[in-house]
Amino acid sequence: MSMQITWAFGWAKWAFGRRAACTLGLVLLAACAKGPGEPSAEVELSQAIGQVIRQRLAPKPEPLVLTRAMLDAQAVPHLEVVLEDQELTGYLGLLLSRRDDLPGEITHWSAADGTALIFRNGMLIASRGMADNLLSAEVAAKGLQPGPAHGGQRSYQLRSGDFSARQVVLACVLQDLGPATLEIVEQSYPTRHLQERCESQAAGAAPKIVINEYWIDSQPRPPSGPQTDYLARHQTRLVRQSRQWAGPGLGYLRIRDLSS
Amino acid sequence: MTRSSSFTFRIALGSAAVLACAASATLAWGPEITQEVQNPTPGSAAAAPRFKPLPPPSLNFYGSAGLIDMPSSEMLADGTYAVGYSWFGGQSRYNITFQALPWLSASFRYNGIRNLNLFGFDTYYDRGFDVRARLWREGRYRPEVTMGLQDFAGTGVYAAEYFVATKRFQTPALSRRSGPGTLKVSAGLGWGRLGSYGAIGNIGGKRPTFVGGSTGGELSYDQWFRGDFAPFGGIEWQPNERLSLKAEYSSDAYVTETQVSDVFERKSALNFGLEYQYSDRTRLGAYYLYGSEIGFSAQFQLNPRQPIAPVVVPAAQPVVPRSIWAKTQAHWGQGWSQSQSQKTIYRDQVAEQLKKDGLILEAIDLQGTVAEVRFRNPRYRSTTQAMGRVARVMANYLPASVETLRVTPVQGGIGVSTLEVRRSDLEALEFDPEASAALVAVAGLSEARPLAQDALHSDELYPAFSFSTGPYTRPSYFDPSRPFRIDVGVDLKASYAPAPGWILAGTLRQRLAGNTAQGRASNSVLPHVRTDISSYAQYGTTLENLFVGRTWKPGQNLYARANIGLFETMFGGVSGEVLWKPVNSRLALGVEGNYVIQRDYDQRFSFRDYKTFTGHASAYYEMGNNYILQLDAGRYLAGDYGGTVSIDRVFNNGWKVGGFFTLTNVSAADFGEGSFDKGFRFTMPLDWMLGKPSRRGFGLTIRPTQRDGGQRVAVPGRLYGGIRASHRASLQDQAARFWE
Repeated sequence: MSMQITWAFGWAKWAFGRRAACTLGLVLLAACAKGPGEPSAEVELSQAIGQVIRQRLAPKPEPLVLTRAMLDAQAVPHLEVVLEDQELTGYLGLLLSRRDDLPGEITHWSAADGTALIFRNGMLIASRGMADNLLSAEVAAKGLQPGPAHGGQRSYQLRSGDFSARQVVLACVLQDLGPATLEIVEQSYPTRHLQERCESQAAGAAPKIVINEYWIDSQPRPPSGPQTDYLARHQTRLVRQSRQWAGPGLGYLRIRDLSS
Repeated sequence: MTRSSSFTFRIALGSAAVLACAASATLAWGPEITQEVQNPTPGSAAAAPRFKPLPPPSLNFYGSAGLIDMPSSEMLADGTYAVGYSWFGGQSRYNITFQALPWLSASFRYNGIRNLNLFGFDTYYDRGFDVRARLWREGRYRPEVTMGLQDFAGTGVYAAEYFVATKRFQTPALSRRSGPGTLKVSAGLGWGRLGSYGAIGNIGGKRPTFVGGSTGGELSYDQWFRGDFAPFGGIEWQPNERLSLKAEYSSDAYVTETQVSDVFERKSALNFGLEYQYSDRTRLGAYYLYGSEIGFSAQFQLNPRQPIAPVVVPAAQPVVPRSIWAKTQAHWGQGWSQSQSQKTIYRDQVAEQLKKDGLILEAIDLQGTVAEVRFRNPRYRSTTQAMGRVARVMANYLPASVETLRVTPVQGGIGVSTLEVRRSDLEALEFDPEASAALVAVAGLSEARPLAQDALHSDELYPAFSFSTGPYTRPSYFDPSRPFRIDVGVDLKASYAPAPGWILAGTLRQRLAGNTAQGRASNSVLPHVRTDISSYAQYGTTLENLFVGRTWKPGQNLYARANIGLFETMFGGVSGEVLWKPVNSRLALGVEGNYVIQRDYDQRFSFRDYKTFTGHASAYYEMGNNYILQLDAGRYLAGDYGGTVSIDRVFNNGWKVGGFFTLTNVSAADFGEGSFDKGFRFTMPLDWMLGKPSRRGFGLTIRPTQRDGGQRVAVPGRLYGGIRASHRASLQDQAARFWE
């Protein structure tokens, strides 16, 4: 008889026919573990498969319709973030705002599903809880001035598939595209539109281009919603809206600050 | 190598059966392929820097980069693992290729030739190894050149050697949307099989021919580059990312298949093919070969650096600097360190937070300004990542006076290393532009010191009882009557840990289905330490193992293990091991001694007559670039003396690919088929496939022939692997994970 192994993914059927494959499937799903010992790969795999099935069966959440009243009722400021590549929208609440030894205020925003985005003066410096995290980044921050203060070098450390970091260095030119008025959930904001056009300088290849855009409050705006350190400190101005690159894995994020 | 014996050897924790199910059930094996967008709009994701690799080269019928039946000089992406199947004219080849270095690849092949009707088999099965080395890269005018040895260590049914050169050219785009195409032109000179048609010269006279049915297994270097040599060549045109058209001139006369036997008819030296890149990993091809035969191939290329699903781990809590909350003098006092109850509160808070991250607190030592947390990590593959989470929990939940944080991972009850980091560094560096590198610069790594007398242990951990049920699979390869056999069933595992470092564990196994029991009986002249697999497979309900184990730290840089009980399917006894491994050293040395008795075929509590001492001295060296060299010397299970050389490439993300061979004082004739023990092994990490954190993986060890010489007993809990993972080289390789 001819040989029938296939190294790939067809042989389970050959080995015992579908019935055996199903038996195996049932056994997989029946796997369980108790106690502090480490579960075996089979147990973890069966749990993961179960999870995927549950996720597939779960109804899709209704898209959220935002109103200003709803936003005013929030205890903490929120960001709306759209992952352009995946057409996903998420809402992240402010968890922490702090300073470190470098210029700029760090704001740490997190979502219930374990996703987090971290900004310095409104410029993305890290992502957590995602597939291809931005590990850290160097941005052009100056004092507490929102958005990029100048052009020049930006560098990104990004997770790569083998648990290691890869660096992307870009050279940026900052441009003021003039005033623009934004409408964010029933409220309008006079802003200035800044654009950061960055190029990578890989030898021999066509230059890669990243364009980050920021809409920054033109006037200080006293907050109307709940008072927080973040808003108090920024009574001056905020990055109201932006479109920022978060690395090759995540692509571009469209971000709106929903705080009142 | 020749006809096969079959045997199962499972090295890691499961096997391909589950893998297959996993892949088909949960993974997107979708048809998306990475495409280079032409003239992307600035500001779109396509115009931004990308990490996606170049499209993989296509493979030939032997599983190496190449044309159809002929090779080209191309190499796969470094680390790539390619699995392929090809078929034409009653000949099937199953190929596995691993790109070990950017310029070196190795392949293993199992092939069947139907109706060869030679050497006493209708269908002739054979196994072979290939190795290919790139001599130089492609330049502006200079082609890339590669030297290959095909089936170089067997009876050599496919034995051939060659030099081949390939040059790439850009071809015009077919449409505005597609990019320019690629034309690859290859030409080479072959010896052996590849010098059998249209020879243009000869080196060294007549080449020794292959002898079907001989022992095989030894390097046939007396044949290499001997005899007639002939030119071959061909072209591959890729008009776009998906399609590829191939044409070649073959210098293989298929003498045995077409003249000695009648497998197919070779009417022409020209072959043609059409291939389709279905996804980044999958490629399918159809061919017309030798003027008479239709063929096809399927190729899968996995790059360990490109996970099927990148791991997503919920964000860790951010470090809240003490400057935000410790604003008064009272916050900074050390009075709490005198209060046992206050310390217990801190312990419980830390334990609770660690639990949220999937980590287990073993013990905490709290002094006025220094704190140490000992933890167990059942969740994250990267110890660095677990350490980062523990450090952040400590920074957020311990009193402000604690400035020095010590993080100690615990393995089998013993502390394996200690990372020491200042809390103010954590506060300052979390969002540094180069946070990972900055942390490596300020953190210290040392041996775990004995835990202080007044340290607080977790109350819930000991004694602890765990159990699990789950499927098992046990494959068995290369029996000539059925090359692949498998048993599947259920394991019931239980373990009891009475105190740190102690374990009592056992596994009950119930087979549900399988055909390993119909395997061949052993014909070995050595003691049957491994070849009685079919006798062992006669029993469906078995006690797979039952043992008591203890691990401890006998001295500086030393780790020890002792076990007694039933270790594995075939052996039980007593086992002891001592390992010397300084935290910051790339070198480790170990000794292991076992006195074992062969278990009865029914795998319960009785034994057979065979008893032996087996033990080894081992040296392990981390060579850099994720390569680990291991040398063992000692006495093996059949009483033979010798040594084993193993090289493994252990990727940070848990992928492991390696090979080994063992030479002992057993003669090639006594050893039987294959002449000496050798094989390769790989482990595919679960988190790499599923995208969620896990420390588990599916692994296989494949030996071309399973014999009795050069075999070791499988004892539970060998020390090196787990300890290495928490030592400097490994932690530093994964430094990027600390903050994730």
